[in-house]
Amino acid sequence: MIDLDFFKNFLEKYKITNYNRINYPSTSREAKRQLNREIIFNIDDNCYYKIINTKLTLLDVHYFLNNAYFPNHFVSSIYDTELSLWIVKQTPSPGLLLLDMLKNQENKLDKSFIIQTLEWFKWQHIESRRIFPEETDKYFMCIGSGRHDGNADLSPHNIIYNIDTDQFTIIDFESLEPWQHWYNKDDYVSFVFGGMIRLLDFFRRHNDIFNFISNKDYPELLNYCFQYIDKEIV
Amino acid sequence: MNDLTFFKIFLEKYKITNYKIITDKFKFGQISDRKVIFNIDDNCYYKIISYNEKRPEEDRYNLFLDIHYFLNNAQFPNHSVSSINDIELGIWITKQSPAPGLILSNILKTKENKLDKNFVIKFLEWFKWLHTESRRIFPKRTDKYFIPIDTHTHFDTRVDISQFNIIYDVNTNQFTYIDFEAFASWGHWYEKDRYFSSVFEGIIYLLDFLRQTKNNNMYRFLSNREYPKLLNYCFQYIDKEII
Repeated sequence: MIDLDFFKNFLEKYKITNYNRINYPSTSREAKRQLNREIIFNIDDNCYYKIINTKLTLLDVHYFLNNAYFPNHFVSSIYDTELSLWIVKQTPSPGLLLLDMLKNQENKLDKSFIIQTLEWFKWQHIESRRIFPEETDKYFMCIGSGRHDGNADLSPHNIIYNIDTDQFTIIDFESLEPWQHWYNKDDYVSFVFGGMIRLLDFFRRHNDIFNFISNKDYPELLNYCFQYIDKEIV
Repeated sequence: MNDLTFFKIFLEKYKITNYKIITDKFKFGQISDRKVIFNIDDNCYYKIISYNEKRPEEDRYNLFLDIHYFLNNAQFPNHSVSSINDIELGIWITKQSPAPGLILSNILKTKENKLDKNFVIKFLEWFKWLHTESRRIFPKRTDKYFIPIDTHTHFDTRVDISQFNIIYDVNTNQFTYIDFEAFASWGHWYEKDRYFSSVFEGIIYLLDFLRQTKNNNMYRFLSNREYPKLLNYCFQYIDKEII
């Protein structure tokens, strides 16, 4: 059931008055309503908040977000049982939203970006083994899939990247159904690799701006990604 | 002419009474200006599209005639295709005899299918055939590349080689494309780079569909490991054999 007051109640309880609402082009108003979620930037504490109205029990993602050592920014997860809210709070991360780089024809993005993306997945895997030491037969994922298609959601509005320092940051975490969080090895490889296929295809299609991936380079870079996932992560 | 009458008038004029409506919930269920039927009497499929006010401005009464000419002159390898531009009714009709094999989306449902890498070779050969045939039919167009199929998506330009538009015979390796588009808004003559990208992107998406785990227990010929290699094969084929 959609609770239209959840956002108002959140603002009142957390005493947030000075904020900007974040709207992404891919999130329609209707879709947002269905998902019962809002994203804001709180000017007073310089943090982003993703607020989801839910009565569902949170999964391991909540625990992961509160215990993982994120390399570039701070992340915390709050499960407010009184208001039935899941809140993810994040400090700003260094760099620009990948989507905004599309507007910058003179960007210097290069293949380091791909390496940093893969290293983020490696970091997530190592961190999940540290945080959940008893889970040794499955692979953890704290992000969702794009359009529910079984591929990791590496869409350009979920990634912040700093071209000067090569810092890669994922900013959109998912904790609730229908997202899965523990995958067997084959499904995990497919999920991550599928995300890389879509992400690299995004660059290939915008080759006039991101000129480091041509049609010819695309299969070779995908092969590199597969080998990395196969040899460095799983 | 409203959405409901164009089909009724088509049936009356062409004296079609014994037919089945082909429903495709992903493509046609939401589009009210087109119908696809199978005429039992002449054993042919008809795609009927009305030029109505819902079409983009550039498409109204503006059938892209090169497609019409191509469909009526190309020697399709596996079945017969013809195109009728009915100016009186304001409709475009594509008539096709059945192609050998099964629609790819139905092959998906067959757990024991024998689909293999020949499928990839065959669809590449279809694009080569298309290009060669377009050069024969339009000998003066030597600077651009012809595509008679849908190339629009929400995100970019890519040829629509989805599982609903392909008939394939796993025994004879016959590949048949069945969904042609003729209106101007699709665009049909492409510069070399754009043609390359559109075809290659269609292949990326089709192979990715086959790769994905939920389908891959049926399409075992395409693992994650093989996906980049097959894409590279496709790239080399387009680069060396077509353009």
